[in-house]
Formats: sequence, structure tokens, C-alpha cells
Amino acid sequence: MNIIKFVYILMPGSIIMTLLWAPPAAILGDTSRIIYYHVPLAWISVLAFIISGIYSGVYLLTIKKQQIKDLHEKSHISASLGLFFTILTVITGSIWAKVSWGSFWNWDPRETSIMVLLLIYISYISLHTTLSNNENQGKICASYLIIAAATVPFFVFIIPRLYPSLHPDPILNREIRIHLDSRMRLTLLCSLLSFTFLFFYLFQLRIRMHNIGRAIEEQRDEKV
Amino acid sequence: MVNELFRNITKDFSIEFKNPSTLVTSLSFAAIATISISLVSRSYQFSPFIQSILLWLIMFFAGMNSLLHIFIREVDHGNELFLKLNSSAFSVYFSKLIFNCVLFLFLQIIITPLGIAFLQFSIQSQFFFIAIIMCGGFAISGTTTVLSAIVARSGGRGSLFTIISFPVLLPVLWVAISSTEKALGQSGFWDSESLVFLLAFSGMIIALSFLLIRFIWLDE
Amino acid sequence: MRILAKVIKPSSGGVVYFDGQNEIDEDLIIHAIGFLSPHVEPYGELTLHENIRFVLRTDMAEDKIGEHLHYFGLFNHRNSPVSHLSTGLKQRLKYLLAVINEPKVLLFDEPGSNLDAPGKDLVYSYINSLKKDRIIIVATNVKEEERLCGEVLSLG
Repeated sequence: MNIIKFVYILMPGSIIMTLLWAPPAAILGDTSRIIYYHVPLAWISVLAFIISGIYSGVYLLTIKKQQIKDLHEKSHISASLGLFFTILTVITGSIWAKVSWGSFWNWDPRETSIMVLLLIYISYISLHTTLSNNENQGKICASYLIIAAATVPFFVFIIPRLYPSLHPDPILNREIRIHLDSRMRLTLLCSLLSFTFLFFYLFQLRIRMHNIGRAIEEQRDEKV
Repeated sequence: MVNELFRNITKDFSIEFKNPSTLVTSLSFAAIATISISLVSRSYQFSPFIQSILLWLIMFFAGMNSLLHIFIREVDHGNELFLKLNSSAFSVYFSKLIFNCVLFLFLQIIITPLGIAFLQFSIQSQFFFIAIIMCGGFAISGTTTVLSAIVARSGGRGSLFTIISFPVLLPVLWVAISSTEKALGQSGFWDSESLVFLLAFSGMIIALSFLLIRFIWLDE
Repeated sequence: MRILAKVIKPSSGGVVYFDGQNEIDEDLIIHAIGFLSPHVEPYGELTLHENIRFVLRTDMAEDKIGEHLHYFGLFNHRNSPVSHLSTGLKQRLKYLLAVINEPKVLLFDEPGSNLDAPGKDLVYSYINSLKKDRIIIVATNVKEEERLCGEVLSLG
């Protein structure tokens, strides 16, 4: 059984928990419920990028032997899903920023980090599109993604530590503790899990679509 | 390998000395941008923060054209195959990296006095200013060399280069601008963390570029 | 020809070079091959001499370089930029650049293109002189160039 299909249960359950079961936060009230969407979306944005980078790395390492097929396509699919989730992260983050700090965008280091990630995704897609008829598309796009991925630790982890942030105490802080009420913590974790499953579900769907498209093309070529 | 590298460096510098049009264009851009800002602002005394932003943006955009040129020229003039037959990907990359570092440093040496003369830069921490300019410049030229190889191989041009460079260089610009602001505004300032950041960033990108250049440059 | 020169990869299959029983490492192949082709363009901004210095992998004395230039009729143009040469002289330069490192394998793609009759005589006699101790592969549509080779393979 495909474990990813648990998303059909997890996602609705997670939505119910976020809207009804989790208590509202102090001061922010019900508007704080956006955390259960914003944080998982941000997590998936980074996860998609990591997966894309891993596929790109494996693609380049195995390029001569060509043992594993479709690595470049999987990298691209992960990146395009990552772009979608990053846009949603920016939107949900902006809404939360407006409610919490009074303006949609403040160029807080964490906001800047996600914006840079979005720009990297856009650059990658632009490069991929420019190389659409180029037989070296896979290698060049994979190389760019690896270079761009290498800069991510600098602006996700190092720069926020060099400069002050408006963001709430990060989930991954020095004490390695989540500073939330227990029900809120459980809701957040369920939401993180649901969105992770959602990402892999969409990833599988896109791969299936790609394989079907390729099978159709091969049949067309055989007929010709 | 050393011999091959030396031949490539000699070749690149010879060609650019014989036809310095790209360098001249970059310097002209820098001069025009600086003088235009000075003219429209009527020599207004900007804050160190604004001065820092102006300095790095002028350097960045002046450098974009020249930094891209070194690989694009090989493709545009049809020398790509000739170069591949006679040099390994490593020596091609390393020679162009050295060229770009020297070129960008030269641009910075010209642009900084222009800023002092026309934009009233007043450098309070001279040693730190020189250090941050050199480290930032090294990071920019180190990063853009491999990206220019990517653009050259993709058949793209200046706009694609700016699109793919900007997000990768944002951490460099961010730290460089913040640090330059302090060098312009505060006397006796020194911040090793930002210098280490820029050098670590450069080192990482250059190391990765060495590993990846054969995938980018060769059709194997 | 570019597949044989290892500058592009084939869609399937491969090319392997052996030195006796030992397979030659991919990174060392470029040292063993001289390639002449209409697609190989030396640097137009540089002089003939500068292009030769760029290609040379070992130290070669100036008089030895001069000998090569004389043989191909290029000595008087050695300090001219390549962009100022006629197509015939450029083709002779390409020969010189392909052979000056004395590679073991020579790949000539359309060897007679852009050459006048004396130029063709010159390069054909040069190729004949090299046949004894080199592997020479010629790609051509010209009948007279087939006679340069011991074995002919017709493609298509």
C-alpha cells in the first residue's frame, strides 16, 4: 500500500486540529493559527530544495553510468513544487506579518531568507526554460542548483545570527525546544507531517504525469 | 597543468589588452552612474548607509557586463571547440577566475575614488574598508565566473546572467553593504566575522565550481 | 569526428582509446589527439605566433616554430592577427596547430576545404609523410582525399 495516500486522512485531520482543536495564542488570538500553515509551508520550501539538490548531485555523480533514470526530471519537479510552496510561504508570512507587526513586509532576515530562496527557484526555472532544447540542460541546471543550494546555509542559518530578527524565537533554537503550549505543539507537528505527506503525494503525481507524457511520445514516435 | 594554466592566463589577458572594449564599457558605466547621481543629487551628503548601497550597486552592475564576457567571448567568437581541444576544464575555469578577480579589483580601484570625489565618501576606517572591498570583490568575481560559464553554455545573455547571479550573490551584497556602511561611518571599526563570512563564501563557491566545471563546460 | 575527438558524447555507444593493451585515461586523451575541422577556430585577436604558443604543451625553440611556419608558408604572417588572414592561410594555420604537439592520433575533417591547389598539394604530402607512425582519420566528400587513406568506410 502506498503510504503517501495517508495524506487523505492526515490533511483533513490536521486542518480540523488547526482550526478547532488548537487553542488560540496569547495576545495574537485566532490569527496565530496561521502558524500551522506558514511554518509547514516554509519547511516544505526548504525540503523541496534539499531534495532537488540531492537529485541533482546524484544525477551528476551517476551521469556516465546512467544507472538511475529521470533524476534530472525529478530534480526539476521537486524545484517547481518548491517554488509553489515558497510563494505560499511568502503569502502566509506576509499576512501574519501584517497582523503581528503592522506591515506586510519588513525585510527581517528570515523574510529575506525565504525571498532569496524564492529568487533562486525563479532563477532555476528561468535557466531550465532557456535550456529547453539543449542536450546539456540536465547537467547545467543541476550544477546551478548545487551552487545555489550551497549558499542556502549562509542566509538561512548564518546571516540571521549576525543580524537581529523580528521573527519569534525560532523553532530550532539554542535550547532545542519548541516554545509552544502542548496542544499547539502537537497541532504544529501534525501539520508539519501532513504537509510533508502532501508534498510527496504531489511529487508522485507529477512523476506519474511525466511518465505518462513520455509513454505517449514514445508511442507517437513508434507509429511514425 | 601549471603550464596549461599559465598559457590560458596569458591568452585571456592578451586578448583583453588587444580589445579592451568590455572593460571600457564597464568603466564608462561606472563613471556615468556616479556622475549622474552626483549631478541629480547636487552633491548631497548621503548617509554612510546610502553611500555604501550606491558604491556596491555601481560596482555590481558595472561588473556584470565584464564578468560575463570572459566565457561568452569564447562562444560568440567560435573559439569554444578550439579551447576545449587545447585546455582542460579546470585550467579554463581557473584562468578565467584569476582574470575576473583582477578585472573586478581594477574596477573597484577606479570606482572607489570616483565615489570619494563625486559622492563625498568619507572613509572613517580605512583598513577595514580596503579589506571589505577586496573580500567582497573576491566573493563577487569568484561566484560570477562559474555562473558566466553556465550562461555561455545556455546561449543566454546579460539578463539571464543577472537573474541567476542576483540570488546567489545576495548574501555577499548584504554583508558587504552592511560592513562598508560601518567602515564609512565609524572610526577604528573592525569586524572579522564579516570578512570571514565573505572569504568562507568565496572558498565554498570556488571549491564547488572546481568540482562542477567539467559538467558545465564539457559535452561529455 | 567530434565524438572521436572526445568533445561531444554520442547518443549511444562510446569511443575508447588504447595504447597497446592499456586504455588511455579520458583526461589524457586531449594530449594524444590533433583535430582539424571547419568548427575549430583559433583566436582571431591573437597573432599566429601567439596562437601557436597557446597550443604548445612543451617548450619549443623559436627556430623550431619557425620551421613549422615556413613549411606551411605562414612565416611572413607570424605576427599578424589571425582575423587578418585569408581562409586559405587560416586553414594552413589550423593544420599547423593540429600537428605541432606531434599527437599520435590526427583527425582531419574536410582537410582540403578552403585551400587552393598548391595548398592542397602541401597538406596532402604532409599527411602522407605522417601516415607511417600516426593514426590518421579523414572525413571527406572529396574522392581524391580518399587516396590519402589505407582504408575507406562509406557512411550513408
